[in-house]
Amino acid sequence: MKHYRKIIISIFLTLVICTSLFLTGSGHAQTTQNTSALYWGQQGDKVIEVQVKLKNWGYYDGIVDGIYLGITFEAVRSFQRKNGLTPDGVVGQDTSAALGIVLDGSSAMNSSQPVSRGDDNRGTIYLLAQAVYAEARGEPYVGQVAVAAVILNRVGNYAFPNTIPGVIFQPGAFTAVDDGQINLAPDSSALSAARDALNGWDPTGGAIYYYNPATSTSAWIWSRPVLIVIGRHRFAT
Amino acid sequence: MQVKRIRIFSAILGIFLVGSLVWGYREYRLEQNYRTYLQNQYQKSFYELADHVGNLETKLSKLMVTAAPKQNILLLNDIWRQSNAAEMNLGQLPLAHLSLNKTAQFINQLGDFCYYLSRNAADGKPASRNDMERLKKLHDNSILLNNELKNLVAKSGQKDLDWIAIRNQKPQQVAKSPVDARIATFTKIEKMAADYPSLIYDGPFSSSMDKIEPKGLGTKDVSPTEAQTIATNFFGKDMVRNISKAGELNGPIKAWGFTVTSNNQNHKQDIYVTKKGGHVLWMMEEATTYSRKLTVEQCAKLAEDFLKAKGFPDITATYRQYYDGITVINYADKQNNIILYPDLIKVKISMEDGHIIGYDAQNYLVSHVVRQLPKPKLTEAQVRAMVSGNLKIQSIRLALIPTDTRGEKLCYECKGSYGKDNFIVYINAVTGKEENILKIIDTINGNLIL
Repeated sequence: MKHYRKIIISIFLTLVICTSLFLTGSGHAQTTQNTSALYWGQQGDKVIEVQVKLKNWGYYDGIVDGIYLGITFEAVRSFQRKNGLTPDGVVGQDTSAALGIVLDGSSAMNSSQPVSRGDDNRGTIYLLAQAVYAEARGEPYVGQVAVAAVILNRVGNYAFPNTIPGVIFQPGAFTAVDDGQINLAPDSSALSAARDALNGWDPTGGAIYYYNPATSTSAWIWSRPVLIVIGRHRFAT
Repeated sequence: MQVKRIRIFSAILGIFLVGSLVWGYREYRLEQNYRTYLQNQYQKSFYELADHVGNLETKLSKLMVTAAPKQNILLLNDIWRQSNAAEMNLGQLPLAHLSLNKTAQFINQLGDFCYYLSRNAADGKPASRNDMERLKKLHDNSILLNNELKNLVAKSGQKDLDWIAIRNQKPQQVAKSPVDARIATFTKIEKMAADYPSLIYDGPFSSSMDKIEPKGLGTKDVSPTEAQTIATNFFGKDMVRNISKAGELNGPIKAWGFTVTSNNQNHKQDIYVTKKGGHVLWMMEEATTYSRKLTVEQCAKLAEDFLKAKGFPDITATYRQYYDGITVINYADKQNNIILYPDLIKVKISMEDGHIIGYDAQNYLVSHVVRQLPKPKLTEAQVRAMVSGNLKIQSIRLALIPTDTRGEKLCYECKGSYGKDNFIVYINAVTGKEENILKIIDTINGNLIL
């Protein structure tokens, strides 16, 4: 009997391990087709539809103005969380189906809106916000603006790459970029902080480095003169 | 019975075992695939870097020889372009542990300096002897850099640099036991670059931009207690429930920091007051989004009244944005009816109840002086005639604008439209040169006030 039991247990354990390996192994990231999704920064009639729906259901308490900014973004994310969707703030196929609105193939821009041609900096704000969220979520708002300001200060500095993506994605420059947290959707605080920094707000007075003294691994960065301490970060030059 | 059960279990077990082996092998192949791709990307950046540096050295050597200014402009622009590309490639290599800041500085300043020379050449100003000497130095340095990189390329011919291993090294190990001894070349390059002289010229990457000398502070020294009073008065004594000292700012402008809890809904705010002169440097509220109860116009009026009460009687709004229940307005100072853009103050107002949630006077305190402004040599009528025939002019006024290199120029600011787009053209009021053209993009909730 004892012998029988030993075999059962060992086989069960092996089964459990193998099944868990399969489950974690499968599901390499599926990319969904976002041909006409609504996302942060857009404006138009479809955005109005989303806002009206979310307002009626109590997720959105802002103004219905057809402009997809921070408050709308957060409302969409609450809705997604409540309905078991990925809370990425993007109204794609699944979210629009859950909302009960149809995203047609055309752009979300209402043609009677003032012409907004050329490049706006919506994409830049979003990327910068992702970096801020990855690196400094949980920090005080001033600290988030400071992190965004450091990135912009680096762009203007001769020792670093000269574009915002170049600075953010420089290998080894930001741990939260290297480990993939950069791909998380930012929250409204990070979006606001990115926007402020792009408008020239810099609480650090020109810092190009920052580090958390509790977790920093580089001895070299401790030698940089510190300009200001905000939250858990020391900002240095 | 037992033996049969054991056989069934063994069979199932066997299937799962084989299954996980198959899965494991698939994962291994996929990882190899990604690894190869990444190594290839790094190799590309490395070879491109070496290529661009080689071209830089060649073009610089040609500059030493050519006398024709037209040829100069082409070469100078090309050097600028190549240095930009080299800079990008350098920033793509996984060498963060080595902190190749000086190397990056050299490449950036080289390109920027050549761009400045080419701009001068376009204006008809030939390169001075000083400039030529500096170019020669830059060329000598580029020879050294190029040699090192070419040697490294040659060495990597026998066995490729393992960029993945370099990337995965812990910073502490890099110094003592680097995974590939050849990356010591980069350390050598960085050491060489540290010896290059600082370049000072009229460009945004000049070393002279390192030092900021604030002009608008005054000389009075202010103690932390005095600063605390100033901070409290900024909000108004009855608005401050609690205020305590919180660190210092040691930037070009030094300041005392305070954290404040407001009587208004217990908002948390940070505020910094300069050590010299006791000016409020910046203030920021721990932001949440705000509800929209007031209009933008009402907020603008509140902000303007606030600034006038704080001692900025001539302040004028130049740009505003509103989003998420916040209105942000940029203000510039005025002197003799001339807008002074360098003297910039930014204010954020809550549209919930109109209280100030953000304030930034850093630019103002760096630039503000009572200025001796030059007399414009052109009249408004002349400027109107100058501005491109296509631009339908809506307004013209005098303004002082900042340059890339912290200079200031007196200009006529001409706002106009071309088709559906709006532009602002700045014409130098003294020389008549077109200093800048700005395109106004109607972003969400942003418009320009003139």
